[in-house]
Amino acid sequence: MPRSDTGDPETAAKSTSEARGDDAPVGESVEKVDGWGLVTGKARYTDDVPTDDALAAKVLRSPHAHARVRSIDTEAAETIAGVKAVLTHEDVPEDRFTRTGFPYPAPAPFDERVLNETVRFVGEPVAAVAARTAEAAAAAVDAIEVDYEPYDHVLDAHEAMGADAPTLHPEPYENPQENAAPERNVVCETRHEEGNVERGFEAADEVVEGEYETQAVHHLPMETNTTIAWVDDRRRLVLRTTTQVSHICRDKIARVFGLNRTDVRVVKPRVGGGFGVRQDTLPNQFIGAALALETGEKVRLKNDRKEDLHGAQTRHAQTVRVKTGVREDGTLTAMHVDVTSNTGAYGCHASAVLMNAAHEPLSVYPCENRLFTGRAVYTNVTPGGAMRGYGAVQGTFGIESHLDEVAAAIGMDPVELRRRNAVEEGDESFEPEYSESKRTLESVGVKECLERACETLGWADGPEEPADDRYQRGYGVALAMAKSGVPSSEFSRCNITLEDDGTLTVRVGVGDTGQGSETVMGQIAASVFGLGIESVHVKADDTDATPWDNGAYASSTTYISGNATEKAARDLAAKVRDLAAEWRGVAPDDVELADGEVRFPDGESMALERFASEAFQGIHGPKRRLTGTGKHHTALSPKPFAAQLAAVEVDTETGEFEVRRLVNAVDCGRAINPAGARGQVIGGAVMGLGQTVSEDLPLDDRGAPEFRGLRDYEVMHAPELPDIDTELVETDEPTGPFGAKSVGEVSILGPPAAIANAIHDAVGVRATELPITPETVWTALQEDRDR
Amino acid sequence: MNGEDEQFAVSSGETLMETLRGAGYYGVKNGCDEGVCGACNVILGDEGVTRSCLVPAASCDGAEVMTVEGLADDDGGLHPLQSAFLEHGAAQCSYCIPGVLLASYDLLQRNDEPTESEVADGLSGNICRCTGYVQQIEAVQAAADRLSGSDASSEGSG
Repeated sequence: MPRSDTGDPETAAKSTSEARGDDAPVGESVEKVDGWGLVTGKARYTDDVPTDDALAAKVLRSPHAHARVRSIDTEAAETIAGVKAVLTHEDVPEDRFTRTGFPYPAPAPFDERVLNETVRFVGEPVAAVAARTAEAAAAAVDAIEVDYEPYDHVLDAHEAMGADAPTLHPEPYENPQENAAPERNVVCETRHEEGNVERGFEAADEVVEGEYETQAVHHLPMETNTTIAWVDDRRRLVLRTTTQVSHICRDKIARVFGLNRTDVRVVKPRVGGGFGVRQDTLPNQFIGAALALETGEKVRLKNDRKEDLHGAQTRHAQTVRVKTGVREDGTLTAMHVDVTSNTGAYGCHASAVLMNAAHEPLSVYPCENRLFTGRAVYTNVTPGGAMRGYGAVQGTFGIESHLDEVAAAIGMDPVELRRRNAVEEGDESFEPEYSESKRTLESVGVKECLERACETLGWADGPEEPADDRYQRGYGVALAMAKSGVPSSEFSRCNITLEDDGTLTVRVGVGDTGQGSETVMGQIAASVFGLGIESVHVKADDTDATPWDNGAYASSTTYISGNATEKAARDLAAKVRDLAAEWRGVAPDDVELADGEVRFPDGESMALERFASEAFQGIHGPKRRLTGTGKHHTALSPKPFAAQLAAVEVDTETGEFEVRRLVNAVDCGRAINPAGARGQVIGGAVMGLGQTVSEDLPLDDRGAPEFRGLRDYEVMHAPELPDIDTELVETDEPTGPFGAKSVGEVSILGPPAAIANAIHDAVGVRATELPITPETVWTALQEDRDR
Repeated sequence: MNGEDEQFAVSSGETLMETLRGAGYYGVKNGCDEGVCGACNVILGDEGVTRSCLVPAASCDGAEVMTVEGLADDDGGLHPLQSAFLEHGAAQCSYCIPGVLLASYDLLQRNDEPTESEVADGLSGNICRCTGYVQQIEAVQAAADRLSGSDASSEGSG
């Protein structure tokens, strides 16, 4: 049964501690290990080092959505004083690859180069310059003359599959994905059925259909993508860069430029947010590397904000069609979800995002007959990439909006419909066919989340209506599920050294971009020894210093790297016990490690500090320095869940609506750091709110951005926040480190549908398109009145 | 600069943000370079919180400038705002945090007991993409309590 952390936190914490035999900072909201630097301005991000010695780099970008570069004349640019290198597609490796930040080969077509001869979206890099000064670099970019052969372009995914549409990738490429048909711009096409949906629809009392549209949005990490690249004194290429996947970035750079993996080093200092955009190795990183290799000098390349907003990857715009059969008693008899995903110019995350769009949200409802059909399509827009929620934002908006229509069709309360159908422990998730993950779910707290959220909001009572009937209020609900890493793909290894002062140095390649993963690893390691977090140093910022870790994506870190860290700590603890037992001539099993002490069967104990010092000095035998190692890889990916409820008020005169309250109840397994987990939940929910009500990246007919910069990108600001309630409904995931699953993505999934459902509850208007605007609501209200 | 006399060589057209970062005040962050995000906030004399990416450095001759580096004491002891941000989980990636802290500091100079919505308004010029702001608002109110002495539990800290 799920356990609640707010019911009796002390009891809950104690039971875990007893079960594991630890006196643990796990379960406590310890301060972040990097906290002091973060609040004093002392933390160093990529660009926070002197770079007077670096060449300034600048990128020339395509004004065309689709064109071939017939020729480029760089002569004038090269003669400008201070210009050290001008690179075009003729100067970069010919082999195509994918920027996608999964381990090689990655589930993505190899369809792009560092600089492409054919450009496929407005803003695509065409050439790059490194120069002694920023002014010289800018002048050189202006002096490059490009002769483009413009091609027809297509921006809409449905049109791109039509007979008249231009083909973006006519040449065959390596690593095509499932049922690829690049001549029709189809990157991949999938069909996955369990049971028989046609039979399921026949068995239904009502069959309901709906179609839902989601927009491209940007991650908008506050630090723009930045790379400082140089060749070091051992002639190795070094990148100091904004990444959330340092080891994969290193691997990718090495492969593209034909270097040994060991001849590339990636330094990941503090990183100003990621949210998925830094999962890929970005053009910025390849171009920075190419310029450093070309010049042999240090090169600094920092995207400006508009380059980042427009040129880096976005969330995929998707069309989600849902068809559901339901019986009068609320039993779902069949669900068919069809997704068309716009992947833009390159196939980066086309396939994996598509898969996620239906597999995650459909897993919440284990009805007998489930069908997922879908395709991802090339168009001439900025490539879609990995973004927090990863397809499931889109799918959850569609499915959870649609379920309210299903509930209405049989006259059932939307919460009741979900209560009757939601997944429980022992049910099977709807995994992609290639997934090796065990489908049976062991920790499932979604129904508990639903009950808790309903209680908090007062769902059963409904909203209190304002006196003036111009304003109408409504409640909406959505359930969500995410994962804890990509099954059979993740790998993490951790090394822990017991220093001679009794502290621990934890080396693990997690990609902390602010979410607190270094702190979580520190807590896990410390807890095994009963040490405080101040006795642990976590080193995670350099591929030279850390063993391979896939980095931060797919909500994998706490579960995968956390398990590796726990294993390394237990390995080290076993070595401590062995050595202590040897010193005293007792059995290792009789030596206990707790509260930072080594305890012997005779009741005596010594502080770990003294133990480490004596081992180091060789007081009882040969000098010893103890290290532990652990690694974790698995086909498992336990699922975190959420129930999210929204309360809105709609102005029926104007269509304007206010989200008044957002309740988030989340099952993340055991929260290693409750404050950190809460921060992930709130941050995700507010990002989801922005996607719902305001964020958009409009393009004109030529595919050019209609936004000038950040001033036109409407994200949530503090005064616009609704009241936000956050509850951690803790379960115990038996395969997780200290019972933990993940928490980074699940809370971004629910707000779009919860808010759309609340608007419908308030005024009967079904918003099927994101972002939901007052115009949409107002127009629908007018249509209702005219009817 | 943060109470000390400092001189910087300034080239024409250089912004205050560029000058300060060039001088090693890396707590001044470049989040957008267009005066929108608040990451480059400094406190500029009587003008209060100011986006340093919009201010010509040459116009700051003789000005008093405070950056986030001026918040902690000389021994690295944290200002109550900084402590509260850590205690409330208000600092995730923290690229926005220097600017948020200075906006908060400026607010507390003017209003030592701000309501939740007053804090939210005080942070309206800052974009934080990680936290969802909630913890930041909580932290500012907690720091206000501590600074005004109404939070008895924090005696002796800060």
